[in-house]
Amino acid sequence: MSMNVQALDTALGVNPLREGLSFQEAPPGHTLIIFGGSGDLAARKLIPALYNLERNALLPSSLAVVGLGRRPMDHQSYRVRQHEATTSFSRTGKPDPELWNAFQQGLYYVRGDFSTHAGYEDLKRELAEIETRHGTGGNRIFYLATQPSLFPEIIRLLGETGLNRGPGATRIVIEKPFGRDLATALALNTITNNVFDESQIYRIDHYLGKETVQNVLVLRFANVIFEPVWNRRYVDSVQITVAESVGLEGRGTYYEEAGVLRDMVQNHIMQLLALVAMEPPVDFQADSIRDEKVKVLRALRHLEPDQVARNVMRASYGAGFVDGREVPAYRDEDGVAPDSTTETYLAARLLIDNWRWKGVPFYLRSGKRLAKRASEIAIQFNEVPHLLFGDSNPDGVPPNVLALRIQPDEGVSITFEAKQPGLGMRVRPVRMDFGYGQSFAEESPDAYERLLLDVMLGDQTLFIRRDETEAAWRAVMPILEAWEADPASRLPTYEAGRWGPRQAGDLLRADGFRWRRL
Amino acid sequence: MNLTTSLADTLPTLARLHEQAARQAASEGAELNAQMLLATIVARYPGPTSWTDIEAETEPVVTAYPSRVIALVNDPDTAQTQEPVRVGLLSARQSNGVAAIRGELLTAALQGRAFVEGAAIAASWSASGIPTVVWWNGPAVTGDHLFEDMLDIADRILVDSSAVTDLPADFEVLNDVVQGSHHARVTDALWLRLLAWRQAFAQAFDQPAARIDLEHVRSVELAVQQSPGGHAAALLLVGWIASRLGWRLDSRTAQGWRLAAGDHEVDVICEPSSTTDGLIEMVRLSAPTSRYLAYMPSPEDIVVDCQSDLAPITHVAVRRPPPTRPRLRLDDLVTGGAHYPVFQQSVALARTLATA
Ligand SMILES: NC(=O)c1ccc[n+]([C@@H]2O[C@H](COP(=O)([O-])OP(=O)(O)OC[C@H]3O[C@@H](n4cnc5c(N)ncnc54)[C@H](OP(=O)(O)O)[C@@H]3O)[C@@H](O)[C@H]2O)c1
Repeated sequence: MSMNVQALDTALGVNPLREGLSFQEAPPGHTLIIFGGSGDLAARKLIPALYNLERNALLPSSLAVVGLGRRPMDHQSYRVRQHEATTSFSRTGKPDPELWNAFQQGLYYVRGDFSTHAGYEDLKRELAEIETRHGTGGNRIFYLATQPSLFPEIIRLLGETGLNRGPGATRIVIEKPFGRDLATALALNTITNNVFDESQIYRIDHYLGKETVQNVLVLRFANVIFEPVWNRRYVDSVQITVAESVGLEGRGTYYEEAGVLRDMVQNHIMQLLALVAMEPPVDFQADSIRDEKVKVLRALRHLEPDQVARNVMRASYGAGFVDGREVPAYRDEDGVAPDSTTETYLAARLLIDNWRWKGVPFYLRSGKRLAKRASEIAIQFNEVPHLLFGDSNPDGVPPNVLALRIQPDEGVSITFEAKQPGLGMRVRPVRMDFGYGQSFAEESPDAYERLLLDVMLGDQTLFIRRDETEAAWRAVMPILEAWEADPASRLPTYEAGRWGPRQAGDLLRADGFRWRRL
Repeated sequence: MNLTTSLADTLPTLARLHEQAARQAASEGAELNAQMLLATIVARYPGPTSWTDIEAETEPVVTAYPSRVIALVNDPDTAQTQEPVRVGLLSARQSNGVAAIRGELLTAALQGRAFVEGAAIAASWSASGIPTVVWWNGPAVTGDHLFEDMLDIADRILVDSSAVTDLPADFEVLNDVVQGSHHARVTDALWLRLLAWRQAFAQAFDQPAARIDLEHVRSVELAVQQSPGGHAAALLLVGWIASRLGWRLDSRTAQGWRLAAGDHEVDVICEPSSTTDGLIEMVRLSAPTSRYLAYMPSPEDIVVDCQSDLAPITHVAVRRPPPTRPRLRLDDLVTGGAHYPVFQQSVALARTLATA
């Protein structure tokens, strides 16, 4: 089907009426089938995101949502439940009664077990009925919002029951984690790609749905002043920080199995790194961008086992104070083993072996229970080659830094030197700051709004391609393997509410750098 | 200046203090943080208009697009009083509850020559380094001193052709200024009103198979409001379709025009519409084996019903907020001037039709 459309597309060229109208396409009718429709992700993120899309008139008029789960519930109680959830979690607060009323008419709940054939046959029948009622044109999105251990089974059964090829466009959305190491990722990809074509598969990393993450590309490729200096000749180092102040929020059992490397680094941080370091894509098509991202991930220098200890540091949080409240140590959290060696903090020094970045260290850090919630990418430039104003500045002249703040307080700042007013020649670093909130009043949509809309529009740009997940796993596998080969009996700890363990500073100090204060 | 607060509310409180400090600084004559401004807007009011009215229609725009608005009001009575200029800040409450200054409003009540020479005021009050956009509040004109000056000093002038009075003459003028080589580009609120129609048709023909139908269209029928604005809208929309598809004027007909489309002809037929809701009520493209009917089931929706042997999708819907004046102005700020050649070609063809 997609082959035919593409062939015709080439034969017929571009749509002459489309020129100059590239913005805000509305998606065609769809049925969104959520595996795990009664779960946490659906309630917190998916349904509120759909409601907000509806509120902004961005949903097709013919949309149906079918939540699937185990617990018994009828359509009406499902609607009431999702109304409560949207009231609590939507970024726009309590839903407008009239709008919600129209929206909820497309919400359905179907009970069943994901691991039995019969459930899928039931689903097929329900879908046929719902599709006729709502005139969705047979376009379907299967959204896997359930335990990752169920993914292979669900995908296999979708294939066996023929649901992988529907009457319209059929797409599948897979939530992270995509495997828990390279082997499981490869296995999951094999199963998924046996049943679905890669063009049907949407692997979600919700970080890519964030406006400021997308802005990295705009900043780099819609401006002429940054790209010429965006390389080893001018950049001294790059720091990527994804810091959380929250702890486990009731997800202790999950986190014990994951740790920050799997939860943050392999996916979100690798994506940020790829966006910052990639070459300019030939155009803004999904595959052009993803091609360039994969090249970066492939160029990450492989860490030998003996290099891991020198370049990667892990730790777990001890007790401390956050927001004036005493919080327990990681090992004392619910669902966590008292002798746990799961890392809640990681700092690493990585190198990218290509023409652009050879020799420029990329420092990554991420952790839970840090001093504040802050994500940032900072590009630190070289020092000036010859210091004219050194004498009067005993501290030297600090290098220029371009900081891309991802959250909160999204924006971009540049630090540069200015002459301090007065008769002497004193130089002082000043900051030029752009804040999203100041220049744009529109509130940024939630990442899930962007991503759900893109799935309906068939735009894969912000989704992770098969080879990307595999390349990202390949990059972190040496770390996992080294940790497994040499299990620590106890990880270093850091006080909750601080900026991580002291030793994390040593990674940079050897190269003459310091972690930025955020 | 200090406030007491709770641990959790510390940073928002700090932001509030900043806001107070900024207000204080402004009251002492300091320059405002011009960093946040994205444009200088010069709004022309041909007749007396109150501060409240100007503020009301300006605020929704600057809330989304921080700007310095300079309103030039032709108001001889006020101009004679002691203080003909008023200055104010426009602020809006953000999602975190803190009010943020979003824009600046400067109104000048002027009379006679002072109004005609208003460009000098606009030029001296404009913020530096950002574009100047003029809200002309009327159709494009020739021989108007203020308009001519604005063509030189502004980056864009937003005219409104839905307020035309004399179709052929007004389209002649519009075409002249749109094709002319001035510093300013001239954009049109009427063109933005048609955005949803254009969007709907573009979407219907996004399906490659439907594009075959497009090559065989034999007639375009429109139901149009019986007003100069309605006729202007029809002209511009037909100008758009025809210029996109490479159609040329063949002849004028009783109900519209006959256009030449390569090896065949296309009849454009305008009928009076029965509603007063929108300028255009319905547009139908017909080919021998297909029909694409676009209409507005509600003021916010445009639907295209596609009946074709080729196109698999039978129903396309586009939703847009109603085209209020602030909405159109905001659309212009955000998208105006984008893909200008498409607009220029549409205007050129519309003018050919209007003067045929
Ligand atoms: N929660 C978040 O904020 C979040 C954020 C990012 C990513 N994710 C990812 O999203 C996915 C879902 O997470 P979640 O937190 O939403 O999980 P959850 O709250 O535990 O929900 C699991 C859902 O799957 C259903 N389910 C489980 N086993 C089933 C079976 N055998 N047959 C039928 N239904 C079954 C459950 O139905 P019943 O409850 O009715 O039994 C429930 O609806 C995971 O991959 C997670 O990593 C979640």
